[in-house]
Amino acid sequence: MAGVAFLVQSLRARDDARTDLVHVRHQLQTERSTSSSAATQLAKARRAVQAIKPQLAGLATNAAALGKLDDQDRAAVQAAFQAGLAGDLGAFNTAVGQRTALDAQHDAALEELRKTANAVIGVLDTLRG
Amino acid sequence: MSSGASVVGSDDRMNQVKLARRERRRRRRSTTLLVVTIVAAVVAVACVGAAFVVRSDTTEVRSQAEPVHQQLREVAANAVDAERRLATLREKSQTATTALVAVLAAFQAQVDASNTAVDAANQAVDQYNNGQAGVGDAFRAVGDAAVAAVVERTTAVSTAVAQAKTALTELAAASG
Repeated sequence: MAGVAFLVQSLRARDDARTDLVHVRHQLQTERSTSSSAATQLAKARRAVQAIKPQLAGLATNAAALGKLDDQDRAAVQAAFQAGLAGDLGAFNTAVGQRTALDAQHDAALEELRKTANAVIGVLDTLRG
Repeated sequence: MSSGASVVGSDDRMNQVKLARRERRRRRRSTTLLVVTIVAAVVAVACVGAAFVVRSDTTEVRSQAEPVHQQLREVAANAVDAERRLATLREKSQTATTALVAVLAAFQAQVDASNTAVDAANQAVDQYNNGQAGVGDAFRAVGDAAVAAVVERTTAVSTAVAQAKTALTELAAASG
């Protein structure tokens, strides 16, 4: 009886081991498929960002440059008002002239920044599906 | 007398026959028991032998499964890592998009505030030219709020530019 029980218990253990082997092989196939999908999506997203890396660096630089133009614009406006408050119309006209001189450069830089930013935003939107 | 002796002799023979039968049955049972015991022992030994063979087979199957389990753990870990990196990249791209939208809005707001201030200055000059006020008074009436707005929006531009720079740098870093 003990020998038969030992045999039966051994057969059950082997069946369990075989079932486990089949199960884990199936799981491996499924997991490989999932992993492959995630890796593909990641690679695609990374390629997309890598492709716009120069624009990302350019955006930061151009935004900083435009920020400096804004600082000059603010300084010119403040100078114009200070001159006006002081009743110095000559200085007022000089300050207004300085600000006007910035306009074309500022507008062009802002337009360029807007175009690049919108293109980058379009690419980034595709990353998020 | 001879007839009585004959009866006694017959009884003895019958008893001897019965005893002989009992003995034969006992021997047969013993033989059967011995055979059964031997068969049971053989079966038990065979079962134990088979069980060891099966166990060896089980060990082999388990040894086949172990590397597959290991592979499964590695593949699962890789999948989790890829999903985490993808989630990070998407989060950084969302942050960068938000920062870019904010920086464009900040620049536009600064432009609007500056234009409003210049309009206010021109109005002050017009009032002065029309003799409605002294030049200083005309600027005092419109100047503070307009200049304050320009200063505030220019500061907001600096903040937005710094945030955008950080967001873009982090996005580039997340892409590897």
